[in-house]
Amino acid sequence: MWGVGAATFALNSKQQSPPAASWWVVFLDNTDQANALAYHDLTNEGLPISKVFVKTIQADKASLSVGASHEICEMAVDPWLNSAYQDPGGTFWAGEVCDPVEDDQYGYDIGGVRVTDFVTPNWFGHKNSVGAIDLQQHARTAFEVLTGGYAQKFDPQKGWVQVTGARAARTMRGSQAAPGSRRERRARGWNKWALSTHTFER
Amino acid sequence: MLHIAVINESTAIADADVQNMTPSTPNGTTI
Repeated sequence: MWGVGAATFALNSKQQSPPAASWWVVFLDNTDQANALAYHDLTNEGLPISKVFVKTIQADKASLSVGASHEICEMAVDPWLNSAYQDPGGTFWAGEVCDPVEDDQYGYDIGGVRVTDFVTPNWFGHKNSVGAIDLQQHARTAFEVLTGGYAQKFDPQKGWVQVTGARAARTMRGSQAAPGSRRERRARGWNKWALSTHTFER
Repeated sequence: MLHIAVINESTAIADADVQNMTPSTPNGTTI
């Protein structure tokens, strides 16, 4: 429904550089480790990079597989963090497909692994759009942020501002956009993004 | 087909668990 093609995933050894032209999904403890290891906003070739902050997710007592699939799906749909959709009032909302329905309770299982729910194009839709708002049909209306979810909308004076569900506001991940996260990178802007300088040691 | 490299730098999760979350199939994984 988002026009995303197939992808292959391969675990990369720490001693070997990833294949040329690959996008990266990096599992890191937290933002401190990301900075210490010089994993920045794009791969060393300037291609999309996702970061899964494992200890941050664990501190929220949330599912790692939901968190990882969340980052992978959003990177696949909006790799450059520049899509946005206009609501009936003229406000633009970031094209993040998992944030509004973030929370383990909304996920579903694939092969015994719990994965994230995500919104369909109807979440950003016109009032006459027909069909599910999100894959698991938890949301009832377009632009609805569920209690475990959050979203970014663009304010002409303030820039990107976050709308946060009540449950999400009580979590580390939902309550604030961590440095290096998609929300933080979108708000920071392309011209301030840095390539990864991580060294893969042989 | 898009190739995604999975890199595990976390001290809190094993490579096997990471692989379990990012399965690779002969025809790729459609997302």
